[in-house]
Order: sequence, then C-alpha cells, then structure tokens
Amino acid sequence: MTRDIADLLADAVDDRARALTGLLPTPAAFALTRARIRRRRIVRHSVEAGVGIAASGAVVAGAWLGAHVDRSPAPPAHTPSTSVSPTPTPTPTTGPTTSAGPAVPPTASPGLPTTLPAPDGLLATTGPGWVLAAYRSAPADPASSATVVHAMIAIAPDGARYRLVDLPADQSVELLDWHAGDSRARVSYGPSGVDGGVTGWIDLRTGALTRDDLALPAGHVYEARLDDGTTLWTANLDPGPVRLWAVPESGSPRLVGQLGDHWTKPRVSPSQTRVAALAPTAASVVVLDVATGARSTVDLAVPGGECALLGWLDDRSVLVSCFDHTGPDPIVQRNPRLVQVDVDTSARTTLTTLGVGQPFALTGVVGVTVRPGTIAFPAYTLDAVIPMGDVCPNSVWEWSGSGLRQVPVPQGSDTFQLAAAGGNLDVAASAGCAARITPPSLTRLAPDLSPTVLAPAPDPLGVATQTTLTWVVAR
Amino acid sequence: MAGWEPMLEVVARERYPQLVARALLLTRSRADAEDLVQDALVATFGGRARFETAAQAEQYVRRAIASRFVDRTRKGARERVALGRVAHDATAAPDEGGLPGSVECALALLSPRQRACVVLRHLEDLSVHETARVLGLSEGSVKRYVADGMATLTRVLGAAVPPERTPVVLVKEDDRRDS
Repeated sequence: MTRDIADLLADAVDDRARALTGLLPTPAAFALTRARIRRRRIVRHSVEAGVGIAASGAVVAGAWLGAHVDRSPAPPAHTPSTSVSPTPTPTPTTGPTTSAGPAVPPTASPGLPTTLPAPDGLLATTGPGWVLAAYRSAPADPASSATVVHAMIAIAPDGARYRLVDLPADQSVELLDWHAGDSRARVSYGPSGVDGGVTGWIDLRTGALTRDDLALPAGHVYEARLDDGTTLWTANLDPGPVRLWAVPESGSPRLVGQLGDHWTKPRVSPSQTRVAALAPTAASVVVLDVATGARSTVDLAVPGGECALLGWLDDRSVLVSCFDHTGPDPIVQRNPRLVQVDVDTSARTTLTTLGVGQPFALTGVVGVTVRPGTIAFPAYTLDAVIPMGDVCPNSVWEWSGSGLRQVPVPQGSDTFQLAAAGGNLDVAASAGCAARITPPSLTRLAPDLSPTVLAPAPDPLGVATQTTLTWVVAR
Repeated sequence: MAGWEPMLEVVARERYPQLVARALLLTRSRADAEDLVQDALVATFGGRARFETAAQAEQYVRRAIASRFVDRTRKGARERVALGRVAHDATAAPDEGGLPGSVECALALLSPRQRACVVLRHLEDLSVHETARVLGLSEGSVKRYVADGMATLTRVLGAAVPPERTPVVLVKEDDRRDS
C-alpha cells in the first residue's frame, strides 16, 4: 500500500524534530541573527536624505577578523592639536583652527575607526559637510568578556575624526539630525537592542540625553527636517493607517494627512511641498501635500509587476524602477526599466530598459537626490541568469538625465546606506545581506566620483564584534 | 524589547527543532540546515510583515527556508553545479546530524529547485502560484520541477501522488535550463 507523499514528508519532519528535541540556536548564533534582523530593520527604516534635507543613515555590521579593516595607524590628514582658537570660526571650515602644538597620535578601540581626541570648541567650528557618527561596537559573542565601545565621533570633510564623547554601553542612539556648529543633535534612543526608542536630543559634549515633548502619538518616527525648520513625523494610531505630522520649529504638531497602512519612507520633493511614498502593493505611489494634506494616489500601471520608488526627479515627477512578474526567470528578461512618472498627470515615460551590466533596484530600495535631477540608489547589477528573488544589492548607481553611472564601492559590499549633501554622495558600505558580515566603511564621493574615506572599516583589534554605525551630515 | 523580539524568541525557543527538521529536507548538513533557518528568521523578522501569533510567524519562516535555500543556489553557476552534484549523489554520506530517513535520501536525488518546489507544494500545501511567488520562479517552472521531482520520489519511495496534484507538463523546454 502506497502512502501519500505529503504524509511521508510530514512524518519525516516529525521524526527529525523528535530527534532534535531540545535543540536551540547557540547564544552566539542567535545574537547574530538578532543583529542581522536589527540591521535590516534599521536599513529599512533609515531616514532618506535629499538635497536640502538632513542626511543620515545607519548601518549595523559585524567586524570579523580577516575582514577588510582599518589598520592604518596614520593620523587623519587634518591633525589638530588639543587646543583651538578661543574664537570659533563662524564660517564653514574643514576643521578646527590648530595651534603649533605637537600632534596627538590617533587612538584605536575595537570596532571604532582611529580617532583623535576632540579639542575644546571643536563643535563650534564645524560646518556643512561635517559628519556626526555614532559607533556602537559590541562583542559578537554575548558570553565574551570584551567591553562594548560606544562613542560619538565628529568627522571633518577631509576624513579627520574626533572622538567627542563616550556613551553608555547599554544605550542605543540613532542620529537623526544635526546642525553644523550645534553642540546637540536630534536622536532616537533607548535601551540597546530595542527598536522604537524615544526621540530627543543628545548633548555632544556630555552625552546627556533629553526626551522630546512633542505631543505626537506614541511610537512617532522622525522623517525629515525642512529648510524652514519644520520637522516631519509619521505615526499610526492603533488601529489605524500611518499618518504624517508636521511640527514647526515653534508651535504645535499639525496632522498633514494619511499615508496608508504600509509604506516606504516618505521622500520630500525638491521644493519641500510634497512627500511621496510607495504603496504596499508596490504598484502605486501616495503623494501628500505638506501644506494642505491633499492626498493622491498615482497608479504606476504595472499590472502583474511592481516598482521601487527611487526618488523625486523634480517637483512634478518621481523616478521608479519597475519589472514584470511574468516572463522567464532571469530578471533581465522581465522588462526591468526606469520610468519617470508625473505625479500630477500620472503620465509615464520609460527612460531606459535595463540590460546586463545595468542596475536592478529592488522594491523598498531607498534612493537619495544627490543633485537636482540626479538620484543615487543601491542596486543589483544585472547578469544574464540571476532570477527574481530576494537578491541583495551589490552596487550603487546614479541616474541623471544623461544616463546611468556606477558609483565605486568596496568590493564585496552588499549593504549600502546613502546620504547626500552639498552635491556629494556619502556611502556607508558593508557586507551582511548575503555575504559574511563585515564592518562598515564611510566614503564621500565628489560629483566626479573622486572618493574621500571619511571613516574606514574599523579594526576589531582581535575581538569579534558587531558594529552599529549611524550618521548624519551637517548642513 | 522591540515588538518583533518576543515573537522571534518564542519561535526560536519553541519551534527551532521543527524548523531545522524542515530545512534538513532541503540540505543534508545540520550545520547548513541551521544556517538556513537563521537566514529564514532574518528574512522573516527583518521584513515588513507583522505577526499576530507565533504560528503565523512560523509559517513565514517555513516558506523563507525554501526561498533562501533556492537563493543560495543562485549564487553562481559553479556553486549551482556543486550543489547539484551533491544533491544528486545519493551515495554521499550524511553530514553530522544523524542518519537521514528514506524520505530525506530520496529528496537528495532531486535538484535543489525540485526539492524546494516539492516541499512547498506537498508539505506546506502551497498552490503553484504561491510556490512560484515564494521562490521567484515562473508557474511553468514550478510545475515542471514538481513533476520531475514527484516522478523521482514516486519511483524511489513508491509513494502515491495525490490525484489533484498529478503534475501536468505545460512548460517550454527553455524553462528546464536551470533545473
């Protein structure tokens, strides 16, 4: 008598499961799994940056021996002494005014790039283009006796790095926004390992944290700051769809409108009058007017397909990357394409179809507007055989009106976080999506793509660590 | 603790043996199976879906095990060939993790995609459409993989194929090139 194959499969699983009774993931493996999940969630929730919008990003990565790391003991090119001019420079600078004192050697800690001590008055001398970064480096094995390193670092545009303040090991801090010259920064914070901390401010001289008092619904999430000081926030009343709030620099929160049940990060238009977010079906875009709350849904007209919203090309149109669900397996045969969509008329213009050697942007990818009309985004560089699936990005590309251009990134990277300010593109790159986790590096690319390493991948110094990097670019 | 963490811990604490057992239908090494489960947990809890119950989350993890397994076979032709060779070597000694049963040995005769399709169709009870979506394959390919896989399993195990699932071969020859 034959048995149904489904029964045989189910019995095989039951037999095996019984033999494995009591099996649990090892603490180290489970800690790594949690870290990888946090990493994905942070990347997914990371703040989108565009021209005129505070640029920030966050990457979590593990640092393992043998990975590409920062082993250079050389001090940053711009080496200040520990004393600075008593009168802060009011104009943007690349570093603090230095005295003729002897150079201070950089110091290294596991999971941190080498840094110099921050001279008094450093923050007041910072200008647009400086980066504020929070590194938290913890042992990969929770049973390890190695200490957690958690520090706030200021990075000059030339890559000089200054350790501002050390933070509590059990605290998690995500940077959200920072004005050049300011001694405090907007953050989300909470106990380490916990999503959805509260928002507030950190004193960059002392590390003291102060909670926001914004009268927004619980669980509100910071989205962006507009040039007039207004900040945008999202939250969902439970139960209820996600809504957008605007909070003026002084005044009460104003409910702008409803984004939807599921959404990607809202992207602010160049004139900062509207936001756009991808609807959950990845087949339409929701557009909200920040002033009036007027809401429209723009159909991307991809029946049997889906799109990624890469960003605003101009005040009227967005750039989307689409493909069809039907067709042969390889993505390249599923009509991958970049499309410009007019959000007022829903008119669609295919800018280019994508072939082998060109970028395929996965749904949910976050692009940044580097310069007017130029959007950078992580992508998978297509080959002839890669099928549709949960592929990880392996490259970064820019679209401008004149075409596509590949941005240089470290070999083997498969996780990218982008920010843009001043016409430059900042890329935090690491591995860990599909490849073995490596620590993040942070590189600035000028309009001609010439790179400046702001922070090389940190050296774990013999300790297997998981490093969280979150950063913002001052403007 | 974040909203997803208690659910992750429940799934890992209470369902880990069952999940590893499922993964062992696809891969012969317990270490690989555990890696696969970890990957599936990351894919499940790092995604956008929200779960009300551990059972709901576990269902996603099960599907993710199959999709991550197939993704691993997509890393390159060399790896695909190697995986295929191992998969078809029924005489290969089982890796650490205990002796495999006859079903696991029979599954090892199938290509990775055939295995994933058979498991999703006949263990997880997904439709052809759902299986295609989970694995990122065309429906025609799924039908072909299930048909070929079931033919082998039926021959080796003498198992019965449910009449309603008797495979129908409808695909073009092109769809077979990466099997």
